[in-house]
Amino acid sequence: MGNILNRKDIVHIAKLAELEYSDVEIEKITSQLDKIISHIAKIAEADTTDVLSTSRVLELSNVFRQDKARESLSREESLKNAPLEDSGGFKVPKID
Amino acid sequence: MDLINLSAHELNGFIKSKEVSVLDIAQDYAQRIESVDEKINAFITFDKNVFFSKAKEIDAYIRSGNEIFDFTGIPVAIKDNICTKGVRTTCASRILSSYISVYDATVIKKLNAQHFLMVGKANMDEFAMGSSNENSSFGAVRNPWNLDYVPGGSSGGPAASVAASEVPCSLGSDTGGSIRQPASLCGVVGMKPTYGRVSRYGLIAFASSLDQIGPFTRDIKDCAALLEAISGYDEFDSTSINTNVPRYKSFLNSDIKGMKVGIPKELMVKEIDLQVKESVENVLKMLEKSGAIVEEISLPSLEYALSVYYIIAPSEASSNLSRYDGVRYGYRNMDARTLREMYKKTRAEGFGPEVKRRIMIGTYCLSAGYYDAYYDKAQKVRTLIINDFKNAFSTYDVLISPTSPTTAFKIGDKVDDPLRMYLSDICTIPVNLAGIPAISLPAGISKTGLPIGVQVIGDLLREDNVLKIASAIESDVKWKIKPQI
Repeated sequence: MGNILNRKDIVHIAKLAELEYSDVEIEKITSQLDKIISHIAKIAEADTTDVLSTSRVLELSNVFRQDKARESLSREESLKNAPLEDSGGFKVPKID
Repeated sequence: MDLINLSAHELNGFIKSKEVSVLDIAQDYAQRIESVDEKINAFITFDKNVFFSKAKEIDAYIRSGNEIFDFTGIPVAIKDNICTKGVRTTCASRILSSYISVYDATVIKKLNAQHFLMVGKANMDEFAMGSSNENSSFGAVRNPWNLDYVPGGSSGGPAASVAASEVPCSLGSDTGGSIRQPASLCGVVGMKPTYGRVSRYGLIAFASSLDQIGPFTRDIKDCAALLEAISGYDEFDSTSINTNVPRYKSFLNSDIKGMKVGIPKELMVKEIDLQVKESVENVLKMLEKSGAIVEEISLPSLEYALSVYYIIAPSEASSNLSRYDGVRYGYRNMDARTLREMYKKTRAEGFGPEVKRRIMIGTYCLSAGYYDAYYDKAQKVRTLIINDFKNAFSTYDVLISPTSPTTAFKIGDKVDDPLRMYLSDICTIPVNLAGIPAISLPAGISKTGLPIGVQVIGDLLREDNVLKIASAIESDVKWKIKPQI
């Protein structure tokens, strides 16, 4: 297949995505992603001169609502699923 | 009475006439789940005590003389990416394996208003990414028609639970075919409504411009009723459509004489099984006999649909799934000593291989230097696909194709070849890109005893036409056979 992506690219993309792969996994994912990206790169052939992008299929614009306070989740409910909490907040390791 | 083989509307009749109580129904379905789900694995969460106490509550509501709606006391399984307050919602992922929803999705609120009977949370491909339900951290779901085969995906649990008579109906979600493809492979009815017809509030996001919740049922009448029950504008989903919900049940058994049916030749793909092709052709012959006008047409841009989908869906997913960082909810690697290390390890350990692959594809397509060539280009080709459909619907009322080019495949067959797996959604993906509604319903059975599905596609908000044609197909196919488990 294409050889669009190599090991170095995969390490870079993983870093952007906050993911990590072991050395063994990198082999496999490099060849899988290369195959997939080579396949989807086919869209370069489509003629899109003067064609606008679609990000939403419905013709909606600026959906607003009243800026009115209403009941929401309590602090207790918001923290219910937290892996670690402290003094009413989410506790995380030190920021590097 | 054989309650587990009745449709929701038949059960509704018996509830109204007081011939059965909701607890009777709950007991029979619980017994069925306990006897077959060990083999099928359609449920991630099923709590019999909660199920029975809810059934008793609904019986009390009925005894007090309150209104009995279409889904009052009807058991419904819910795909495990739909939030259900106080109940675990896992997305079949390790990263959410202990997550308890703190609010109800809008579809759950709507069904609760009818006093429905939630059965439990149904298995799926992790974060709805997959076509075989093998990507679940709670184990693969098996096809009730043959336990060595996949049920399809990503809504494999919702589809298999209906096929195996564990529930009369269920809710799934469809981003690229995740309702229709498993419906086809399991021999049940499954529908993806128009994008925005059903609120996505409380549906855990995969690809926000494509995701839509929809029903799985045994017949078209239940499908129309369940669609009606969950549809409508919701101020919590700014992409939901603010128009009245039609009485979908009123479109069944209509005269289809003169209706125009287009057959996109691009969806009669070359990889199609001969038996699938024959079943679809039989459906078309039958529609012609009933007075419909059937013609082959071409939508040339569909050639690019799979590429467009596998750029747009992973791109949106890579953004949506960035919220799983181990800070506020879900799994966290507790050994990490810094924040970045915690993010990386949490995500590397919490997500399964397919989810990580899609995040990687999306991150690549959105990254500096590649955005224009992939993401923006895909959005432009998406416009071409939408234009092709618009063009087709200026002449035709519905389009028809196979739902899946093949019947169910064997468990393990495609797990090592993601690209081959992606190709199994080739007939369903274009529909999501255009935001239009489509249904899959049984069209026949293969010589090896596996169901074959046919897909009926309509224009934006024209669920009425889809249901008219589907109802005509259903009355001709007369699908009555059930899997032996």
